[in-house]
Amino acid sequence: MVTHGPIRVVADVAAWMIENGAEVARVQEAAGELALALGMQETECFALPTGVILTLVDGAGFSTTVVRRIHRRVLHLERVSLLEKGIHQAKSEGWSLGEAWLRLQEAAAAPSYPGWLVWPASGLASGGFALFFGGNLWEGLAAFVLGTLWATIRGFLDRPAIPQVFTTTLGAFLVVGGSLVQSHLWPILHPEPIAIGGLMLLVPGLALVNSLRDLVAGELVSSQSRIAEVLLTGAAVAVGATAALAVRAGGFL
Amino acid sequence: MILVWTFVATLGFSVLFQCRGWSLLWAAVGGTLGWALYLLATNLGAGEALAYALAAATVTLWSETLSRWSGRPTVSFLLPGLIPLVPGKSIFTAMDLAVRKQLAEAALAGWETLVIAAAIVVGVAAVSVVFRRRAKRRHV
Repeated sequence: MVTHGPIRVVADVAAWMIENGAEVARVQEAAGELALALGMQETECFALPTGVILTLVDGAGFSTTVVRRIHRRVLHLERVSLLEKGIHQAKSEGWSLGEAWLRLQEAAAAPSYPGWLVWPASGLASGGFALFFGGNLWEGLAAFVLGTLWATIRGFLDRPAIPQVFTTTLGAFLVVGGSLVQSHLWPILHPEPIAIGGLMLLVPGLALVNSLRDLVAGELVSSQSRIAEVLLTGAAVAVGATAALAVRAGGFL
Repeated sequence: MILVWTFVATLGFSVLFQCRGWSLLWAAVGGTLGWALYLLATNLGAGEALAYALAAATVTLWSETLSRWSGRPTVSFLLPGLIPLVPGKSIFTAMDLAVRKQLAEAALAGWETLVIAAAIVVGVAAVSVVFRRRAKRRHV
């Protein structure tokens, strides 16, 4: 009979990998590798961006299935990296179930960068893109300030009760509105490169590429749900940006 | 100079994606290499789609090589490295035009976005397939 142990460990690891930004196809493979390392005979894992369905079969042929829902996803590549390393070590060093559980739990709880580092990094990303899209140094600096400010506000909004689509719409409104205010106060600044630099923090470019990668890998359901996410996020960005432009057209700036 | 800004923007995103240690810098170098190849390909007369595919293939090759060397998963280098190539600006343009009811222009911008994204995926997939086949052969 399969105990609750292996299935809980494997399902949690699969869910943690998805929550932190691993590819769906890789999560399915990794779940199989970990289950075999923990002594299971067969595994079947169906992962989606919003959940995991996992079946394990033990040596006596008994099978158990669990479902894990995933409510919130972030990109934390260090955790993905540590979990992958942990699975590799569990295979090569023959970890016991308890050891695997403790060490993989530790990997999934790897700390994030503190706010004082993430905020200016957002500024660096948006300032870099403002310059990349043809802005001058002053516009790059303006985008740096805007990106840093937005990341600071986002830090306070990033909680489960607030839908991400709302945060994205507000972000686009504040970024485009902020670029218009900056160019109003300092007319030498052009708002376009500043706004585009700031919007690069919000637009779902990577999600679009990942959805097509899932499609190529044959993960049709994941791919479709990611495309829906791209369209929703893209529409949220456009609505927020258009609202800010409408405020300017209304003569407020 | 644009390559310096590419490096800066990719480095910023690498921190946002929570890359650690040297992988921060290597991912930023990968993004810069990808954009350099895109510029080189377009200067040599390649079309947009081919240039994006070649650039994505370069970033993937860089990420797969570093992954084998450092023991970190490819995704740690690949996702930040692809950032300069992803069509964020054109997704925004397409959605912005759609919100303003300029549907024909929105469809055109959307199509261009899809072509770029598909070219990136082809570039990534072509290199990944080669590395996966090699890895499987080594295990047999």
